[in-house]
Amino acid sequence: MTHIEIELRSKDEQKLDAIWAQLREHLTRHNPALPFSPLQHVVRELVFNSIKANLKRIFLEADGAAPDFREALESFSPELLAKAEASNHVVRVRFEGRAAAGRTDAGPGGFEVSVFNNTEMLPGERELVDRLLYSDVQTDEPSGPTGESASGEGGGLGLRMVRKILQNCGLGPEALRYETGPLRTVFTLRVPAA
Amino acid sequence: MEMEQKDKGRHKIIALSGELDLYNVGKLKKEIQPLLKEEVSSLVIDLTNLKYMDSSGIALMAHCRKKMLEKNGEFALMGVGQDIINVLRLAALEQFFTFIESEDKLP
Repeated sequence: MTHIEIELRSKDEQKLDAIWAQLREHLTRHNPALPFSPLQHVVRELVFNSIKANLKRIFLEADGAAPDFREALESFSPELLAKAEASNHVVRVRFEGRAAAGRTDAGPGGFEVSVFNNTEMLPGERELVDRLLYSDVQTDEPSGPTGESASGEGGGLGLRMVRKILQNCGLGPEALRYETGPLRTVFTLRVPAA
Repeated sequence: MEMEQKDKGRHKIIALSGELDLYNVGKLKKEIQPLLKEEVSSLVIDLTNLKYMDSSGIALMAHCRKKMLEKNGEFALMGVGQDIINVLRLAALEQFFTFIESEDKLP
């Protein structure tokens, strides 16, 4: 079994390269019909979502009041990045590849990539995620063509794309699950072997 | 990500290279924001050398398009590769944009 876990406090493509290499290898060996780039896009969206969630928490802790987080994020001040670097908020990406003879939830030869952050989703966020990932009544434009919600904090465009990518790859909603609780949210992408 | 601005006739062209994602979308927005308020009648984003764009980048493109159309301006994406077309398709936003193949095809 291959097991890799990396920690990110900010974008670090070099660290992610280890995950990409294993993802590519597993697809080649166990499910060559699945394309690499779209699944890489899924993981990147999950990683960026987690980094963003951690930055949001850091920003809220630092400033207290409800901010216009989108503006703060987009200004990406050196101060905010420094706080992120200095904080205990770490995004962990864990890859678990399975040997063909192994037996796991992902099935023989399957693999899982889990992305953890240090925040708990708010009830409204959970509703949005559930709708975007699992609702049968999903429209093409849940939040308008800009992908922005009324709150201005993003309408889940990234997750909407993730769901579409998984659908295009022939993977059902069970391919992506999430859990959230105190100081922890984890998204897990599960890709079965062919 | 690197960006370069230039004018061609009535078009303001912003050429991007590298990767556009959560980590640099704010920098690009800061550069573009004044153009959305100025007397720019046509804004063209040249993606010929852009290798990757995530949902943050797509949201910014959609925002720019919206702002340009609100002031009766034009907005187009130029030199869009298949990878980015695919990403726009996944976002169900492909049909919202005007695509231009290359600079010599600008009207």
